[in-house]
Amino acid sequence: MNGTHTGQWRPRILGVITLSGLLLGAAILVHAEHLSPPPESRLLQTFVDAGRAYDEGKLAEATTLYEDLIKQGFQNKEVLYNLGNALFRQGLVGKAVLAYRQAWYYSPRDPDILANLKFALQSTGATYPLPGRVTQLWVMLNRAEWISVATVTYWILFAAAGSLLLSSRLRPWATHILVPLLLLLSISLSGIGYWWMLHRTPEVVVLADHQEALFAPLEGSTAYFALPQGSIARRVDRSGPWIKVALGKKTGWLKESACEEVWPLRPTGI
Amino acid sequence: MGTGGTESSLTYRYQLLPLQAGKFTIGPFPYTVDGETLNLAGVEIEVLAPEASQNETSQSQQISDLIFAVLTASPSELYNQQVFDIYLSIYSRGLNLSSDISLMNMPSSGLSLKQFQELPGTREVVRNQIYEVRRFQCKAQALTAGSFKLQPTIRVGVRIQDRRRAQDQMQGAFDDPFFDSFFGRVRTQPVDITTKPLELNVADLPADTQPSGFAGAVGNFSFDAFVKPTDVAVGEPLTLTMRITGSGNIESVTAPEIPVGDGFKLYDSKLAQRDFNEQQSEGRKIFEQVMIPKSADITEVPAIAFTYFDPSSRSYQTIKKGPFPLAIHAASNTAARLIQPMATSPNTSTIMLGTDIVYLKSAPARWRHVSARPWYTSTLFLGLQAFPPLILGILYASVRRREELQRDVAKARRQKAPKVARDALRRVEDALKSGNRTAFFEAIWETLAAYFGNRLNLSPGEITADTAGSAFIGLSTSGELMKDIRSLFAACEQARFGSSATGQTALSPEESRKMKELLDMLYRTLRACERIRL
Repeated sequence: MNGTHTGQWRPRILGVITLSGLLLGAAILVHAEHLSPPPESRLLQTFVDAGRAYDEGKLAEATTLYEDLIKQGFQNKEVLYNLGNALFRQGLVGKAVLAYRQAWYYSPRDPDILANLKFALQSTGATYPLPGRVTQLWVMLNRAEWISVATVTYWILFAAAGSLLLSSRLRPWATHILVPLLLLLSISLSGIGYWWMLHRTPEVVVLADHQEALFAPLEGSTAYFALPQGSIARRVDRSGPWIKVALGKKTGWLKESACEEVWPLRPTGI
Repeated sequence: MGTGGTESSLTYRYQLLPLQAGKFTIGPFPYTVDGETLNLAGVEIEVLAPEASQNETSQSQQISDLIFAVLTASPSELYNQQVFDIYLSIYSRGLNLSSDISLMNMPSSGLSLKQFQELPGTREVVRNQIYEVRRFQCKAQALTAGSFKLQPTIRVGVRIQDRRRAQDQMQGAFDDPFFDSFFGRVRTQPVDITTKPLELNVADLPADTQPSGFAGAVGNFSFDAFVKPTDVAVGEPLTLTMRITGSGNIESVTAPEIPVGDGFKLYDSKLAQRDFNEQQSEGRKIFEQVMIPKSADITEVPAIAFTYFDPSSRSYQTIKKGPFPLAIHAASNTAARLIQPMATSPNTSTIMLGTDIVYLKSAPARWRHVSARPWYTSTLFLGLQAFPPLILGILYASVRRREELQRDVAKARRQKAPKVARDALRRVEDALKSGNRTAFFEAIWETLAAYFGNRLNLSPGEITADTAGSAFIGLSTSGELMKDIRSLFAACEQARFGSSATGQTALSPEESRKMKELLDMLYRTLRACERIRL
């Protein structure tokens, strides 16, 4: 009796397992299709199409195509820079500055990015936040580059220390060998720290026109200083819908909706 | 008590407040001492009913003798808007008052009263009686001129021991005064007391001598002001900070007027800071006034005056600060609409950046997705970073060890002993396999010399059975060990220098067995020696 039942159930169980397997396989395929990045040829085609649209004066179309690439997760400096150009041509200076600044984070020594960023800022009367002497050193390299420098220095430092241990002839030169390496390591760690801080208290770009930083985070509070569209300030505090921004040595309160953070995405690409 | 005994007494004292007329018996009181219960006789008390002629007047007279309250004000002569103190003192004698005290029938208009705060209690002698005095103080402010009569009713709670309730509830099980108080058999009887009326006369502020800048500050204040920065360009803001400190109606003090005329653009002054005491009668206010000079001709911020009425001197006082000298420069070519110029860079001159933006960039060489994990966060990368300190640590340890062994030859040789012995043993085994008797004993000797020479830091000439064995004398296994060491040395010497030390190389099975035993003994001896810590 039991054996008969088992015999009847076996094909059904096998059928269910097969069907489940097929469904699972299909789901994995569909999911993989969604997850896997598009092939580089397609990305390249979109990039070229956007450039062609830009050349033909179809700036909105070019913007959409560049933004598509960014939405897909390809936040290369070239895409951001070109997006900045397309936005600037449409008069969207704030957004253009935002794109240029994001591109600058990836490549702080790129003269084209810097030139267009400054040009866009100048067009609205906003000033380029010139870094101080020390900061100038830190923005010479991006974060990944500083990490590379720090890593290489770190290994050389240990190799030098090992050599000093093994060779007594080198020991009188220990200070001359180790101090510069330690100095370089400190500088590169400071550089990493600078970019890390920039991620913690990010820069914001003013997107709206005629913004004014107020003395207090209240409607009707006294205006302190003006922030033309595209102004790049540092967010130092937050209070409800207000953010406290620092511009040079001045700080004031600004509606968060009037600006956007420069680093909206995790900066994994740099 | 007999002669030589001790005597002690314990007195409990109760205060009773009769609440109704009648005869009452208090007690008897059972008291247990050393297991023996003594019944102390009860006490009869007769509470007389008040006589009709005396009635309520007499009763209230009796209560007022036990408890009464006094209301005072300081100062009593007041001005409109003046902040003053009201003191309430509750005198009681022989009563246990609860902490809850209510104040009723206080005027609801014309005066602003803050919360009463209790002051430290005192004792006072009134009508030859000692009274416990509870004192309360509150800050009040006169809001209008006129006469005010304050005669509040104060409801206090008098704590009374509830004997009957205790007896009902506990049924004598815990019929003890300690349990009465411990289990809260105390009830609170509210008692209303009325103070004598307190007359307050509030006068208007003198109008004829009132200065023009007076804005209602009444009290005793100090005033300070300063301007920062003092060296600005036209259109740049400077801040006038005004600090008013003192006691009085500080809560309603406003910023003084700033008579700057048309030379400055003014924004509403901002209350930057306010620090008051709990009753808001003393404190500090700091006002900030942003001022923007409109012309380079301005040389100063005029003097600022703060006027207040001082009730103690019954006169208006004016404190002037300034004028504050300024250095105003002509405006640069910054946008006129700026409230304050943008944060300027060190290089203030304008650099033209070309006439247009730079053209598009070509496609990236490599498309990198934001979700791709950067190399510097990979486990491999982070794990590799642990190697340099690890390798350096190992290197440091080995260098230290090498240097130590260079300094301590005996230790170095001691550590070397097992290794050289192993090498020599290999030769012994080879000689045994090849059946070379002479080579076998030579190798045995080499092994012994190598091991004991290094282990005991001996020169080759010093290595004998005695020198080798003497190092292990006194240790647990030294008896057996000594025997083996001597046997080994003797066998070697016999083979090497004895009569049998001929050139004969062929081994009989018996000899071969003995040599094997000798090798085993050598192994055993060396292992035993190695286990011994010298």
